[in-house]
Amino acid sequence: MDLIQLFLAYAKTGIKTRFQYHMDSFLLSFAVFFREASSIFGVYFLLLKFDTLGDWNIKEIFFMFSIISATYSLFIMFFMVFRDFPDWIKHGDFDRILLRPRGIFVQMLLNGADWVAALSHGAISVLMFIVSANSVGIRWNATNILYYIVTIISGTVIQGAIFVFFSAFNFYFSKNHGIKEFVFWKSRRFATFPLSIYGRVVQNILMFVIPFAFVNYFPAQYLLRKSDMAAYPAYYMYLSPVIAVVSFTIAYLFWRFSLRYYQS
Amino acid sequence: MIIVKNAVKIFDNEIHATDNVSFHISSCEKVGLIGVNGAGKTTLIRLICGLLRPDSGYIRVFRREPLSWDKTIGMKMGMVYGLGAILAGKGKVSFGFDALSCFAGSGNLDSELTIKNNFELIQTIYRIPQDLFWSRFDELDEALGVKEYMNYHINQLSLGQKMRAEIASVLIYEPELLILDEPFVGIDVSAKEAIRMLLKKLSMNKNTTIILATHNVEEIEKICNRVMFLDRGKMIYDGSFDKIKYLHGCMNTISVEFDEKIPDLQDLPIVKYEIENHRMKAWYNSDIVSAKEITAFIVSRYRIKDLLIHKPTIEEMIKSIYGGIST
Repeated sequence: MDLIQLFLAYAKTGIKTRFQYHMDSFLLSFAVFFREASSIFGVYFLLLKFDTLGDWNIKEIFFMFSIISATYSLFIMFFMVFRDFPDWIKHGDFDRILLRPRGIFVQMLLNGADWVAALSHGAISVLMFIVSANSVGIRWNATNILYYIVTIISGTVIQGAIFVFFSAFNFYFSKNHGIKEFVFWKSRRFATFPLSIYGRVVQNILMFVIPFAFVNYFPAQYLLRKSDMAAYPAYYMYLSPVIAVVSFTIAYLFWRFSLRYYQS
Repeated sequence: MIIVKNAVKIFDNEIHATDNVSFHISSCEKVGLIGVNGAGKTTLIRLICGLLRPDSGYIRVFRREPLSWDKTIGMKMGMVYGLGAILAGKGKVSFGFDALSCFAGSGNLDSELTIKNNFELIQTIYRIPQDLFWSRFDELDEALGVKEYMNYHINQLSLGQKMRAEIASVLIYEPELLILDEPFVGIDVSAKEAIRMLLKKLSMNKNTTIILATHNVEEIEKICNRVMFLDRGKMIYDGSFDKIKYLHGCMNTISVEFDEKIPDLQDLPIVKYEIENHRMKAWYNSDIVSAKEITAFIVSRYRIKDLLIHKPTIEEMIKSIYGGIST
């Protein structure tokens, strides 16, 4: 109850701040929207030429994309501080969090959430979902809806874990902006397309190192049942929540451990 | 309340920022921390609040090891950083990036939010009931005048306005231990006076322990009853102002302007004297000879135009502690 109150307070002040310059946030959300939309058009034109990519048609790829956008939208609500962590340390904002009598991690979640960008990514995901969800042969019964919700939550947590893990390096080196962004955005781009079209190395990385495959590919497989799933163990389709819990636990423990080495 | 024993903190560049410092501060004390820039004030404060850990030695705050994420300590402790602290301490010693850019964001207030939003967050974080919180806020507003900027963003405020908001944001949860690092830099005289009154009231009514770090001795003299001097990480003095006055306040001067030729003062037990035209300046130790004796001696023998007795100010006494000659 107490925690919810704190989260609500952060959300309230955050939304107020982000949206108070109406024109500014309006333009920013459009910019983000069109950036995302342009990558969707890229996929669209590619598939006009090839028709399918590893047995996946355009609607199915759009469906995968909608999962990525939805989870990313939630991710930037909760894990924004970890994305911009070097700046938080540099500007002394992290010291403020440290000195306040609440859990540090709890204070960091939701704090500084980029509500404008979250809204744009959310809009993209809803749009992609509307375009694809009813024409890819998914029966939206209770089980599938529940599975979808769990998928979105797991996907958000997995991406959060990646950022929490990499932001912990900032306790040791004050600058490592590059690595985190590179790893995350490259993986995210790979995850736009079905895992099966990549080589063995990339596949293994996306499954076991930066587990983006469990954000959208395997969950989408459960709902779509494409033929390329035969190359992977069937239980991978149910593994996303487990991967989320495990990766987040590892990331959190590593972060907590590294905090001991932090000198303001 | 605070125990520091043989604390040592050495930075990468082998500067001993805190060099074997030991002291004990009990509840309700008002301690002034004096030192020139780079003397190690900010480092010592950061050790106390757990943002830094000592390389060796022992520090306890509220009978706990200060770790900045300790919620029990966080609830009872308030930190105010002033501009001086941020420019001198954070900018140079620990990082080396542009100090001013770092000032933009640091402090207790989130620079992206308005004062109002910041205070709403503080109310939730410190679990203070709404009505109590805002009645305290009105009280603080009388002294600090932050209400009129309620809907301004922190980075829209002037330095003085920002400092007042910072101080209000800490005092509002009534910490048992209040640490202020250079809080008076950039604040006008009336606001300084208001803050001083506020601090006095706080320590009287709420038994707040106050640690005030500054290089402005005057402020410390007005607020604190105990003072510590730091010099290059070492504690060179720890005690009351009275003790300083007793130890270092005895070297007084007397300036006399004569109407005639400068006389011979060899009979008087003065330390030294300087002569310039008709004016003579003499240094004497007030423990050995009183001003009364000297003036009586001069007035009874010579015709004088003017006479001035000067007792050393605290500032001058401190200079003498730091190794200068008492003048």
